[in-house]
Amino acid sequence: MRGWILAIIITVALVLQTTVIPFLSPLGLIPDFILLLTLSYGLLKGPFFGVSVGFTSGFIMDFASGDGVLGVNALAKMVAGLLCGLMEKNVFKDNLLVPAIAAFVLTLIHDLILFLVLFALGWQLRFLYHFLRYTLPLSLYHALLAPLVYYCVYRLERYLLLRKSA
Amino acid sequence: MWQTLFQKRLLIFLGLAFLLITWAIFLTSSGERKGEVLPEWITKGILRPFQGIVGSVSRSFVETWQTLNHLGALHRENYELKTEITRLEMENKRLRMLAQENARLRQALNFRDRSHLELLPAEVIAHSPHHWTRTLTIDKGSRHGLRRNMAVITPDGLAGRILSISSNRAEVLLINDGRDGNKISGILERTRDLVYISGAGGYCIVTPSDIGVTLRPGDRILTAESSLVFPPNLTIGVIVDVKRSGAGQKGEALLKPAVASSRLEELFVVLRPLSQPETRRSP
Repeated sequence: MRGWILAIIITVALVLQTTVIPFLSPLGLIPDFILLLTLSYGLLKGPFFGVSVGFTSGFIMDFASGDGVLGVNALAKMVAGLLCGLMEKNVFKDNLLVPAIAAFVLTLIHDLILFLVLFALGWQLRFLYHFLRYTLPLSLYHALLAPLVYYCVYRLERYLLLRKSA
Repeated sequence: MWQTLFQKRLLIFLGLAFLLITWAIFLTSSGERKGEVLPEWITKGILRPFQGIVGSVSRSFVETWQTLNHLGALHRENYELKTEITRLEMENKRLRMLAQENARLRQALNFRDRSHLELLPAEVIAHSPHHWTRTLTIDKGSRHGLRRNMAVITPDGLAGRILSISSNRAEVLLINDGRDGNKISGILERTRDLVYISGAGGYCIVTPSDIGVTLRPGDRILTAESSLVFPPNLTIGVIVDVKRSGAGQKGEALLKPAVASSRLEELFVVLRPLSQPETRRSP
């Protein structure tokens, strides 16, 4: 049941991310809802769930995003999911500041991984330009959006838990 | 104790194996692939109908909203446009005469006619979901006569080329995508000097072909006559910043592409590539 719901959520996030959101985003920044979902699941359910959601959704994103490098999003999101999952035991799950801070830090790490992999593969990317133009503003943007996504995932997980126990 | 050590070693081994496999996938998929792999084809096939519906609904919503917002301004604009049409009709007549004269002269000199491009309009159904790649998915594919490397343009200038293709959709690689090999040649409009343009993720880098070529902010770069893929004299972009270089170095400049990739909705695919032999007109 959870798997199907997650598949639907990932599909909806990807469709929105590739159609509507590029037109609505300020400064050409496209928020990465897949990363925010991974982060939320990692914080709520631990490293195994964080890694699984990050890896699977990252690969789906790679397959959907045109002729990019396959697996690069899977790796970056898997690491993000793992790091969030490792924090699971040490954070208050009700505190919405936690996903905001985690989103800020993990967007930096996520983009750094992507940059390093693409740079190693010969892509023409300038670190400082990308960091100042995209990564830093996107980290702030994600920090604002993450509590909302986290709250939705939190409510959904609680609902699924109650349904299961009923 | 031995069991813990074994488990740790197993974890390290699995981690290394995973990284090796991932790196192998990166390496094999980083170049230009001729076609999509099966999971890619399936994922895009599943997403495409949803992207089409959501895209068209959101577009019509935005258009309706914009129309309602600008109703007053539209009346004024309508009047101004009618005046402009009259002026342009006169201009058009003059240009048609010049075109006829030009055609006669070209015919006399046995020049090839390159101004006629066969264009296929296409609608953008999806943008790349992050800022690292600059690709678009369009609603036309091999069924509509599209082939790899066909040029994709807009009224503003050059957008990119067809990267991969399936029967009813195609991926467009925009000129500002940073992947290795996304390079084109162009000419500096001011001096007609040859320059090379490479995508760098969001913007482009212009490198002169020779030390003697000077680049200035505001310079327009056009597609080169010698290009086998792109029609000539299309605007690629405008130089916004020139990096100073040392003595004996060529230097480089930042180019702002003429086509704003994030807001693209419709574009045209040049169906007739210029590398194809064209029939010469008889003198």
